[in-house]
Amino acid sequence: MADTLKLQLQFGGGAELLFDKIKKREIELPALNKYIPDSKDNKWTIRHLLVWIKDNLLRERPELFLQGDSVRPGILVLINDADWELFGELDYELQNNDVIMFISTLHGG
Amino acid sequence: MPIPCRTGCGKNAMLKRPKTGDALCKECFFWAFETEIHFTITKAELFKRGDSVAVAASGGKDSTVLAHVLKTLNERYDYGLNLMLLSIDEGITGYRDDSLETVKRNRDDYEMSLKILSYKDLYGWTMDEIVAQIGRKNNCTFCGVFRRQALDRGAAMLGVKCIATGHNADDIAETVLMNVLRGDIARLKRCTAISTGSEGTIPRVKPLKYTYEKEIVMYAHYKKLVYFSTECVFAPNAYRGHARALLKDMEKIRPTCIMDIIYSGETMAVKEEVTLPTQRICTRCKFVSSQEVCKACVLLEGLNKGLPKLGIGKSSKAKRMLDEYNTKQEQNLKDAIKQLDNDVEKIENNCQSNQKCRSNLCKNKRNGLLNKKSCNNKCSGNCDRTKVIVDNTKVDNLLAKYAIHEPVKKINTDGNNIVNVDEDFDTSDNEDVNIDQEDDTCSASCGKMGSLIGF
Amino acid sequence: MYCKKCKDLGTLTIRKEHLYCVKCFMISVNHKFRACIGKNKILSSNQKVLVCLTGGQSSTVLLDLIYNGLLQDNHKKLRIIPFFLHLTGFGEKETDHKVAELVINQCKSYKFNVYIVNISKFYFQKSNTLPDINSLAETNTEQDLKTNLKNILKKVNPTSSNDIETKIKHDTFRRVAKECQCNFIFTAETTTTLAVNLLSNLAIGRGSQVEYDIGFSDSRDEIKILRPMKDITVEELHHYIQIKNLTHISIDKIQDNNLQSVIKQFVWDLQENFPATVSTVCKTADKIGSIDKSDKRCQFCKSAVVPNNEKLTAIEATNFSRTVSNFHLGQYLNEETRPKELTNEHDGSMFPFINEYFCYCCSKNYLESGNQNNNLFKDMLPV
Repeated sequence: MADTLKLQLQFGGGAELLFDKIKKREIELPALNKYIPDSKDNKWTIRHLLVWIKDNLLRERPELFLQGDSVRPGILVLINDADWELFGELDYELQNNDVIMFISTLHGG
Repeated sequence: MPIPCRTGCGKNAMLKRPKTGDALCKECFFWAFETEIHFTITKAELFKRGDSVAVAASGGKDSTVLAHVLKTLNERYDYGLNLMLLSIDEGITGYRDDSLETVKRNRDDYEMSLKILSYKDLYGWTMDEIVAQIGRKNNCTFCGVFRRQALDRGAAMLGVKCIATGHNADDIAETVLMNVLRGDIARLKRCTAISTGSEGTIPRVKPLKYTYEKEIVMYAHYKKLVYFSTECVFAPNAYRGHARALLKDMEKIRPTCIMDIIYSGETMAVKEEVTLPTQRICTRCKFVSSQEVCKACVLLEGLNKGLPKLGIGKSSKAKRMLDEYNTKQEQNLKDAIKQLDNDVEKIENNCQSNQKCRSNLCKNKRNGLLNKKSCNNKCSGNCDRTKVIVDNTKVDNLLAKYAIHEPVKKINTDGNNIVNVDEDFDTSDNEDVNIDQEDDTCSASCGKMGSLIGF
Repeated sequence: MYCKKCKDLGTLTIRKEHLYCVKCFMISVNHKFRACIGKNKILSSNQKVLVCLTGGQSSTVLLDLIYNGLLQDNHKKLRIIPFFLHLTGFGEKETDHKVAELVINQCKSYKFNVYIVNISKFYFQKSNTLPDINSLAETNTEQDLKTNLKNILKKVNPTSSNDIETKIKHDTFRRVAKECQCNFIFTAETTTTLAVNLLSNLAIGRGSQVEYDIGFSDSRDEIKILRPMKDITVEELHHYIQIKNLTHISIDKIQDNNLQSVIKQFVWDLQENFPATVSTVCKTADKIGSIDKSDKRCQFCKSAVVPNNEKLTAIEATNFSRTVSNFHLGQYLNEETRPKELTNEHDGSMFPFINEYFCYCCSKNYLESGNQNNNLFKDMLPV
């Protein structure tokens, strides 16, 4: 279907512990207006992706990964291996085949 | 819309640097990251040419990056350092055993020698065993206190000039906040120093003092360095967790705040009229302490006497516990003496009738019971004394090895009388110094080799 | 359950553990206030004191405590000659007016007179004429708009803006105090507020100024700012206000875009769960000084600048970071093209005019306020 969006999610630095220790996942997102019907936006952004992750992948203790509508401070987000701070963070519009990586800095040392 | 690298190299930026807000590409970031650490090392004069340096290695991100960068810089700028890895094995199943595998990989990757010291060897106890005694509530106190000393001992064994730890800028800022929250003014003063170590100790240096955690993680990620990132299975993540959460929330709003906090720490001083505990040498183990007897020795004493809570809390509490313990021991002693006297009478009877001491009986009754009053006296020379002497346990050997005397009574092996070698363990220092000064509850960074050191 | 002090029924819980009856509680709060002034031995008898009011909780209680103190006789009498000040010009005009009117009414109920001073007039327009007592001056000239504090700070990031506002406020307090011939100023910070301020100070690089910003007395100037409420907690304020049924306005608003707000939320949570911590934090502040007492002052905040004696501090480390982010590897390695030490905003320094004209934090504020800095810093720098 043309409306779906294929992404690869990666978790590292201990963040994978919150996701059944799986470091890489291929996911397919439905059209945004189907998933979040009352959304004013029509394109998937990281903000929406986090909602999807919370609903679909994060079963336990979401506060270890999320804070407010963003990731918990101390978890780095990489969009195609680049710092999300360069790409508008939550407002970045996801593209097909994007690789989104979450690295925790909060674990161990 | 890609952002170009700030240096003007023509490539697209890959990350935003938290310290300055500048955006750099991967290659320029590597160079900037390493050069900054080089700047820190040379400007603060952390090493001297020819020094042997132990890198405190936990297998975590900080120490892995530290080892990698030190090796790189040592070659690039010809520091002439002899680098080696030093790891502490606390004996935590499912945590440290795994992370030590990572350290071993570092050893192979960076071609450095590796020394692993275990709590079991140093203290006779693993953390697993200690937790079995004390429970999960205060175990981080043991772990922290023991680790601090363990690194010193390891460094002494390796004969190095200094220990490099992986404390990063975030750790230091967090510690400043934590020491304010705990009101620990002595540590507040020390915790931002890039190099610590009083006379007679091996200095510790923090080459990553001005390096942000974010950049360390990005560097490790881009360089594909392997590191270990699991929480300690015992870490309750108590107080430091609060300071850490606050710091991360603040960093989100204003990333420079980490450097600002470090600057605050660097420029603060303790007012002259405030008296601080002075550092001195522990009378038992000869390592640095703010007390007559250091916290590690008190904790160990507690463990070995079956009073694991001895070192937890204030020194007055420790003294009371010890008094109670001694009273109880005395009572046990009296009871045992009574028993012994009865037995001795029997032995004497035996001796007289058989003209031969049944030393086995003597020994059994005497085992673990140490007193001036001994059957030796009464056995009127017929006993083979050397056999009567209680052979002390392994623990005793360990204590002796590290000059920690078993404070109860020792037996004088070559005299008729058994004398007190050591007076009672001295907790009677009247200075109103809180023993908590030495306390170091573990942190979110439990397992962070450096995190408990030097603060 | 009985009161901790007497055998009456205790109705107030302090720190979740101590019970007080109303009478003993009021005695204890009054005592804390008086003891704080007494034990610090800075304020001698019959001094003129400028009391700065905001209409908020602590300010409302401070006003009541002063009134009570003045009413006492003999040795219990609070011997000060109070002047009262309320600053306006921080918020929307309407809110500003409402607050000012409340403060005027508060003062009237004690038969005190209060000066309502517009901060922009005194600070930016350098006015030194005190307005008529108990009256609100209208401000809407073009000059007023240009020098409106809110407009000036609008483009500065919220953390710096809060800091700058505090410094400007203190400076204005002193200007007004001078006009009233007061050598002392009372402000109403409680233990809780001071704990927030201490952590905020650390977080913006003002650690070496903690002694003045959090301690009882700020003696950076001849005119000293004193904090007689520093041993009273927010919890005690709540009780006090309820018991006396005092009207006040709520000004505390938590936002998530500035450090001070985040720290405030943190301290409030701490107060809730670890009530002893807040006082620990403030006691720590009493023991902190600065590594150096130099005579050189920051042009903006009047703090001593800390000269650089260390081999390496956060300043050099940050500036070096800027250097390596701005130049090619080749440029850096070449002795001739290697950038020199960064000193001002034009060569990319993160700390323009540091130590010459500004302290660490004010230098940062200067940089971060960008083009807006003309109005804020213009008189302080060389032409």
